[in-house]
Amino acid sequence: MKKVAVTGIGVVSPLGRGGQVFFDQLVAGKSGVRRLDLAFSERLAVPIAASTDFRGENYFEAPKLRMLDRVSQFALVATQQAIDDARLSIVREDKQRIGVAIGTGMGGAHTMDEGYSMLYGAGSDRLKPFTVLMAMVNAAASWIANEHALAGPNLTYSTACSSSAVAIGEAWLKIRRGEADVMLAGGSEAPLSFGTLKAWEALRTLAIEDPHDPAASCKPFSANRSGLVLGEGAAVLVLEELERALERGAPMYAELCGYGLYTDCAHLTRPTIAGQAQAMRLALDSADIAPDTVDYINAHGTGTLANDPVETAAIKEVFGRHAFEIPISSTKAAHGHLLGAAGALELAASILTMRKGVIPPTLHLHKPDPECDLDYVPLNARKYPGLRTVMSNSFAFGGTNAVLIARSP
Amino acid sequence: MTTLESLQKILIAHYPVQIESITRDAELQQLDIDSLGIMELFFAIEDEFGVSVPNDKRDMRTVGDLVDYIDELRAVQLPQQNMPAAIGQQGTVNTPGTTP
Repeated sequence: MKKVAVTGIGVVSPLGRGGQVFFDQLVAGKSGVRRLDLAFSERLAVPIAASTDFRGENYFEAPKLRMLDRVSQFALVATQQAIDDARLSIVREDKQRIGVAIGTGMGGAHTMDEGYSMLYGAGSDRLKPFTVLMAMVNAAASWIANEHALAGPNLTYSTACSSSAVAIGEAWLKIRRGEADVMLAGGSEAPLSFGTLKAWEALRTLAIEDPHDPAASCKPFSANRSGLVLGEGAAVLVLEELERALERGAPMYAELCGYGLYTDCAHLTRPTIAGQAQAMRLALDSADIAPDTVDYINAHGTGTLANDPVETAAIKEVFGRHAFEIPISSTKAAHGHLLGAAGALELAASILTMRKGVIPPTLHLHKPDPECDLDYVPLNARKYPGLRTVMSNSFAFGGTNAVLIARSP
Repeated sequence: MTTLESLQKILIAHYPVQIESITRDAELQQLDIDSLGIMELFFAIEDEFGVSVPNDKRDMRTVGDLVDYIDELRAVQLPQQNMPAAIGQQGTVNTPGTTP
């Protein structure tokens, strides 16, 4: 089996663009959660989300922009950053050996929302000509391949909140098995359209607005947590066969070394301790490492009533006494829940945590839930040099639990 | 405004093309408008000319092809606008040139 290096990181997030900016903001304790100032905000029960000030016209010419849903715009910009960051020159590469694996939960939801608005709201009998091409779930991955002439596997994974962890894990497997040399792997999500926000609102899983500070509305592991806050953005990593990366002197962020996948198969939304624990165990097994070698966990930590105690119990089940010694943070309090992009963004955060030797905090955690009794690095970042192995958890509606492990190369 | 002028107006609004290059003989491909671009253009043409472009898969190669197609659609779908001389408001069919 081949080894896999992470050689580039691209980020479009509510905390800014680029891995460095994103991570600096995380460590500084900044929150990207804010009140939405949109035409439909008044009709939202909770007009709170982690939005980004991204404007497509700053990146794309008008004819192309008209073909790109916001989700594909994010994905293309994050991909370009990752390629630049990895100093990956594709012109001279064997394009058949370079592929794309993108996760997205809802795909081109903005386009469908606008389309339905025209049909049902405005009473028009016409939809925009590119509606299908913009809304199709694989649009982002396809655009990446077209823009960079990548003829390798072009894959889209949609497993709700674990989509991009699955995309990265499956891309890792492709390189390990020698089926590709490089994979651009990550996720993108653009869920802040009226229809999508209302759909999430209907599920009654969104956080209520913090009465004192809207930016503090998402409170993972906290006694007064009330739900998740949606976020938008994308993260794309360059995964590269390790020897190849070394040969060309590529930047070495990490070795991606473990991937566990385990399905709850019990309930669409209710997580299980056994399911989350087994996904972590399988990731440890695939990395062939013992639990006590894990130095940091970026938790799924949604801030929902259901997830946080279950995830805490699952971590204890897998790590035993070591669970109390591992620093754990949920960065969702800062960047929101990016759904299909969450796993990729949080793996990027985990890898940067290891590289920089600083653990980003779990924000707004003043009073933990008694059932959540681990070290969640509350409120402030913590210096922690010498981190060698990090784990990123992604658990999903639908039950697809995915866990990734990276270590110092 | 002639059909060509109206079409020029649409094209320069939506594509990075110079108005001088939009002649009847200009090939759409050379204006960077591919088959998907033409699909998109039909949407704007419907808005601009008030016609409905049917799903008849007509081959469009030049700007002139588009102009002729638009005129044809207008003649069929909007006869009173397009040929005021031929079909009067009264609904009677007149000989061309006889309506005041």
